[in-house]
Amino acid sequence: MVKRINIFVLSIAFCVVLIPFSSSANEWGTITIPAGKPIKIGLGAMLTGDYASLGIDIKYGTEMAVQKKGSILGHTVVLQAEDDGCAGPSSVAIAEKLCNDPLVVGLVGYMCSGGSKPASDIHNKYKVVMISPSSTALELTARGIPIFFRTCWNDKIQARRAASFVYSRKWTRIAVLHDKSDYGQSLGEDFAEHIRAKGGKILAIEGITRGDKDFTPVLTKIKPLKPQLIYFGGMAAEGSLVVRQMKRVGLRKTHFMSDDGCYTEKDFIQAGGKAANGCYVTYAKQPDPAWVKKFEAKYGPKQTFSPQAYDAANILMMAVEKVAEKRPNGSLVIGKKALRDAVADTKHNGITGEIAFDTYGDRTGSVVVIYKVVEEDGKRFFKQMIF
Amino acid sequence: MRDQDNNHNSEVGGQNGKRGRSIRTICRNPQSTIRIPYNVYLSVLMVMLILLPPLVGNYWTQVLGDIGIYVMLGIGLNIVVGFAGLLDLGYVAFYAIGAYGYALLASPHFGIHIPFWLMLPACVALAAGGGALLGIPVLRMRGDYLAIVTLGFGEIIRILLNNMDHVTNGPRGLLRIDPPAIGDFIINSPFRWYYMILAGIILSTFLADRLNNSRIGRAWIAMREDQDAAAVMGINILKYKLLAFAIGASFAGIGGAIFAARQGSIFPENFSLMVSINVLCLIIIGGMGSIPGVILGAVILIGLPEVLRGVQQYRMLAFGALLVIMMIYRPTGFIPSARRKMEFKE
Repeated sequence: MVKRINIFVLSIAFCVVLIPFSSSANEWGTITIPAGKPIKIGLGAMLTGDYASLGIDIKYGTEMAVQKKGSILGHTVVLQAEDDGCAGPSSVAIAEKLCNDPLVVGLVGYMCSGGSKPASDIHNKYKVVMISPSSTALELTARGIPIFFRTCWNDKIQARRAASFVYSRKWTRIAVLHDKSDYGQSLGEDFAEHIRAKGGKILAIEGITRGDKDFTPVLTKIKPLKPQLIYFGGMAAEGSLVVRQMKRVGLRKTHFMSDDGCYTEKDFIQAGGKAANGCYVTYAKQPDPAWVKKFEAKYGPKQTFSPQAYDAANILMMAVEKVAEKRPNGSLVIGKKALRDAVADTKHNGITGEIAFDTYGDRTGSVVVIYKVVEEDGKRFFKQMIF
Repeated sequence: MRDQDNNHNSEVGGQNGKRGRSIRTICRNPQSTIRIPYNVYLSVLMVMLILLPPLVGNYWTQVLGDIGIYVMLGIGLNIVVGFAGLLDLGYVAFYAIGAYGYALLASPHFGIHIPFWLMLPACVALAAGGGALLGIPVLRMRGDYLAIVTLGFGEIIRILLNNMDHVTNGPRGLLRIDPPAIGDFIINSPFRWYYMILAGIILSTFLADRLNNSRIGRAWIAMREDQDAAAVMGINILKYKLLAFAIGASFAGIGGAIFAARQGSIFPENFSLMVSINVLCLIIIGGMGSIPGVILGAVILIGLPEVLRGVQQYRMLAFGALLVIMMIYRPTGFIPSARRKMEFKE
């Protein structure tokens, strides 16, 4: 036994001795792409699992941009897509993998805010730029990490836009539902705050659980308060059920409004049935129709965030092209700080509209549009509202 | 009976297979031939583990760290499930308690910044307390019923974390959690974390091994085999069940605190049922009740999906197939404990 204990003590001592030797550099530094090697664009999204259809859509959008570009200054551009499962630990592992890959210049992603939050700390450590097409949580930009950008909006912008629309319709008695997720709750609470600031009345803020099927108890509770509008922060799976059950409990004249989580043809309009008619959702401006045509010819129906991913990849590649210096031996040298500044200075007319970033990395300008579900000639679809 | 048990335990050192046993019967002296190679193997393994990170780089060191945390959880749950035979499906609750315990008191959320090394024993105590708390109502339950109650407990903790917005910040999680520091030396890179987790594993392995071969460990085994018979033989079932829950949970408390400090931000969704299931799976794959088995199980269950990244969206399919094949050909797990192996043969 004494011998065994000795070994444990010895190994612990070993650890203590070795720790100081394993240090990591914390400077911005440069990325060098040797002659004949490709430039890699990273991608972190959920490619397997519950929301895989969203992640694969993002992958297609990025892939399309990368294939269109082909090469930068004689180096081919390749996409390295990784499945992060939308969860913290695996996003962090992927961040370590891609940031330590000497050929990766930057990354499109991560898909979910829950993955982007811890992963952005890793990216900040190595100073590798990330542009998310779909992480909307406010904290991502609010805490001042220099390497984080996004081509979508943040929750506050979306909530403010929805609130101004509601205000313009003179609806003042409002109930808010959210799905108790990072995304839905932030959105619901921001919306309520904006409504209160405009003098509206928030009758209730209620949380529901993702995956539940029956929301009649909470709707019955809301009904006697006589709201003019129910705002729902969450995804289409629950949103379509809330809409159907509103009619069932007798909230027939109450309007329904939701977020980009409900902007899906299949899961909201079809699943919601007739009850979905007249519902409002907020989403980005329709992307360039010519692009959509090309995309759908290649990959099938577009889901939600592929246009944002396409733009994100383009912005990244344009910035690389701008700052990369070709050395006589054929290698490319890219300064990390210069690359980050080039992304920050982006003025790009992308397929989702004008793109520029504010000092926090958020996209400036109004990019959120209100849609209404309408039925025309027996066909139901999202119709853009003039607002 | 007890003497026989003791003899048996000292034989279970590290060797396996029939050759070891036949040598043993010839020389009758456990110190002579077998012990020394075992020690040599162990030290070679240690040196290899210590030299590993610089060879594999940051990414794999990060993955090794993930594996390491699961090893710690596995060792803890192994005490409850493997040693004491109490099927606990809510083990993630203690992991969450440890993680949130540390994160709440070492992040800008409340503006409190208590050093990691002070919080570590506190997290252990919190998790152990949680374990005892769960232990009390389930004392009279066995088998399936116990599993269901513990399952519920795990979900309750996660839902509480998700809904107590004022305390835990709800689904938005806790951000910017302080990393541990030794003086000015901050543990914030995968390499540094690796060594810290390795030290934690060595400590937990040692503790679990000592527990298994102690009076408490034997009482757990007796309880696992036949609770009524054990009670008749004078084992205080109440005490040992509570001890199993509390001690098992305390390992998860350490794991949770390390997880929170390492990831820097935690969310209730990090503590889903899947974590409990994964930890249970790795024990079963490795071999119930065996500590080397737990380590191998974690390497397979957590490491393999990363290795299989090459096959992209088929990786989960490949992973599932590997597990099924393994359960067909090695139903006792890869490194079953000697005692379990004997039981299986009977």
